[in-house]
Amino acid sequence: MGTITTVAPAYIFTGEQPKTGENYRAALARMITADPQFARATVNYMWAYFFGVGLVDPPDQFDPARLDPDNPPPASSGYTLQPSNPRLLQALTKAFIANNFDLQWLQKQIVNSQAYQLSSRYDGTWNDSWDNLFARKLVRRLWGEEVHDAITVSSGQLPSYTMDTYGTISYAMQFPEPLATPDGASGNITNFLDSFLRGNRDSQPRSGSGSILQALNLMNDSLILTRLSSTGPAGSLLASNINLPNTQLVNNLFLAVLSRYPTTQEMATALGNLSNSATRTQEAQNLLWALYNKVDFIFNY
Amino acid sequence: MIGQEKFTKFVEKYPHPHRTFSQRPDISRRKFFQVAGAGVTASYFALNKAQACTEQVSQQISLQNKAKNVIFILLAGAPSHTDTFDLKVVNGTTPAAMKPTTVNGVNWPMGLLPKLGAQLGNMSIVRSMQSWALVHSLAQRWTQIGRNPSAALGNISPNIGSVVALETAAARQPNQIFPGFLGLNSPLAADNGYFPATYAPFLVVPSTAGIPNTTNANGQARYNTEFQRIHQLDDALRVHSPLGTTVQDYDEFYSAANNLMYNPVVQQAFTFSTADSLRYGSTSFGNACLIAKQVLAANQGTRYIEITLGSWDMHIDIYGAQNPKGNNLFTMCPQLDNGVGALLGDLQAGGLLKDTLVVMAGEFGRTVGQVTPALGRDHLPQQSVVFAGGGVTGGKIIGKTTPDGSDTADFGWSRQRYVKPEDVEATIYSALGINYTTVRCDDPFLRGFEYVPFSSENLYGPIDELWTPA
Repeated sequence: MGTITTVAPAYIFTGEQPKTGENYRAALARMITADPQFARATVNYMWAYFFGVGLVDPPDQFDPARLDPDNPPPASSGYTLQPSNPRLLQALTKAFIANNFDLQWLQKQIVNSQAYQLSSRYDGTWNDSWDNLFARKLVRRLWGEEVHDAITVSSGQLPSYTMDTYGTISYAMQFPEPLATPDGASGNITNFLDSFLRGNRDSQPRSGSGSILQALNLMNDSLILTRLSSTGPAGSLLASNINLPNTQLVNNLFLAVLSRYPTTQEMATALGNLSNSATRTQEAQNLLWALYNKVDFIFNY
Repeated sequence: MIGQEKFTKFVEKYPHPHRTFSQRPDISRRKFFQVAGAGVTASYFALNKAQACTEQVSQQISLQNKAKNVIFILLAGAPSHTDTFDLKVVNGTTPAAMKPTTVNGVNWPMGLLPKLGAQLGNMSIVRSMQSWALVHSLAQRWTQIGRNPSAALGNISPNIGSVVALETAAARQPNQIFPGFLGLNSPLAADNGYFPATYAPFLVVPSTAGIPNTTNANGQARYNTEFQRIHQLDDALRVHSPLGTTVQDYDEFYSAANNLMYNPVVQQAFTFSTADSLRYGSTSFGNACLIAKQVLAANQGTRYIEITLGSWDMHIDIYGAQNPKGNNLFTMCPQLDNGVGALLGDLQAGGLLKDTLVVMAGEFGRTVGQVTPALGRDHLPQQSVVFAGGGVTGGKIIGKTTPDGSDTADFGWSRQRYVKPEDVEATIYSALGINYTTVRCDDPFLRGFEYVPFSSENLYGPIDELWTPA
């Protein structure tokens, strides 16, 4: 059958063992958090979350042997340093530790950075291999939770989901669980969110890919269709603006959904469709519907 | 490579990797053997990364090339193999209601799976399989991607179905509008990995209403107007998009979605009558099997269908002695039996069975002999996998377990070792005429993606015995 040996606990990367009498769980927590990789990985995940690409990417493919700019892989190996900006990663890691692993501090550093202020505009032909140089913002599809909340907030009609022990929640961003089922396992909202590939904590990564189901849902789901009413509820987007002159109506819809004014062309197209008084209400609804299906609504750029 | 001892030695020497990338020898390259022979043991393996990945396809293998379609039924939770496909009667434990019967020389639980018992002439059972791991999510994913999910390329490895969808994409006709890879009742299906999103599983839960949101509450005419409005307003950002290719590609999903809207072909394939549902057992799984048959009959480009049935994870009261209405063999097996029984019958009647390889497997097996104190069975590597259709010789048993079913006694195939998920993967590709030794050089790590791991070492391969005479 084999021999039975007692195995003493040891931290996998250094072999360090718990101190005599030290609680094992506490020992492991102490060793993991003392490991610079813990801070490094956290910093990198946060960076990847905001920028769409990590300094090490994919963020869970760290190669500890290729991180130190003062100790790079030998040229003969053919391998290079792994992070796209090793010094930045190093500096952020050090500072994160020095700031007591404060996540808010880390987020402030990232969003206040010059790199984060950049637009996705690039006047020229972009080469995808430049993505990890962060010379422009990378266009990304909104997460399902962001799409849901952008729709409900902009339309002025927040939902009310009862979530087990968490009470009532109105924002998908507040769900306690990546795979929360706000209206049941096979509910509409659940399917809508699932089509945006939420992933789970275990075996499925979250994905920013597109899919046919997303398009079907954005065009036909009740989440959007019920928010196109021109008569109410009170305070809802279309109802509040339907009686304004056409130009103002168009401007307000664009501002609410896309946070920008329409281009000259977009305004001309919209006004043209709204010009017939017999179909004006319907066309206003069509406009709002089309706005929720615009790629610059679904994508963050 | 032949023989379990040789296989075990190889795997021990090159364990499923835990070390970092640059310390990990890239052993699927010929160069490794040259350098290893020279006794180099640097911590950075002396592999010139600048050397391009070579797309490889071995010409020296033969492919079965008998099937066009695959239906992969994942028995999630891992069914007890010695109570189902590899029946072992345990005196004092096996309930009489399971009705162990010898059917054409096969010991079969006719009290649990009568319809499949009648279909044994269409099925071949491999009893010499063992899983690599006993953790559900890891092993389930391993089964679906045909490799270790926690290994170097595991994160980006596509579902077998995505590989099939990609490989059959070229043969699609312009009028075919269904996705190549369909997932029914499979919300946790392994995804397309690094492959383009068009090869991701298209996930549908069976419903008499068909695919949700393929009609618009405002009616078809209004929908068509609205669809025009999108292009009127948004084509500047969709066609030659200044926002980049990701955004541009998104428009293709809209076009494909539009093709599915108000489409009678879609409605026919994805809706079903109560009568048909009844024939398949009136369960969600049965409905999924029914839809699978209809989708294949529609011949609209779907070539791989994954259906999940669970849970088989019966640690407690596996025979339902304490709670007959609970999760036990007597409540689960009828779902499987009615669904797959009707599926095989309908595929055969429709002339589709010879073109469709049906594979049924859990992620591992369960403990044998007497039940546990909880009256259940726990996890065990030893398991079975069932094949039908696609030209597979029916009524075959490949491999034999020990009298209690806890281990393999006779491997039953040419490689003379445990069958692994990677071999099942190779079998599927071979059945479809897809060269399983293919190495693609388009993965994001530029290391090369092998359809079947270690294919240049001939470590895994198809179970060709499935197609030899009985």
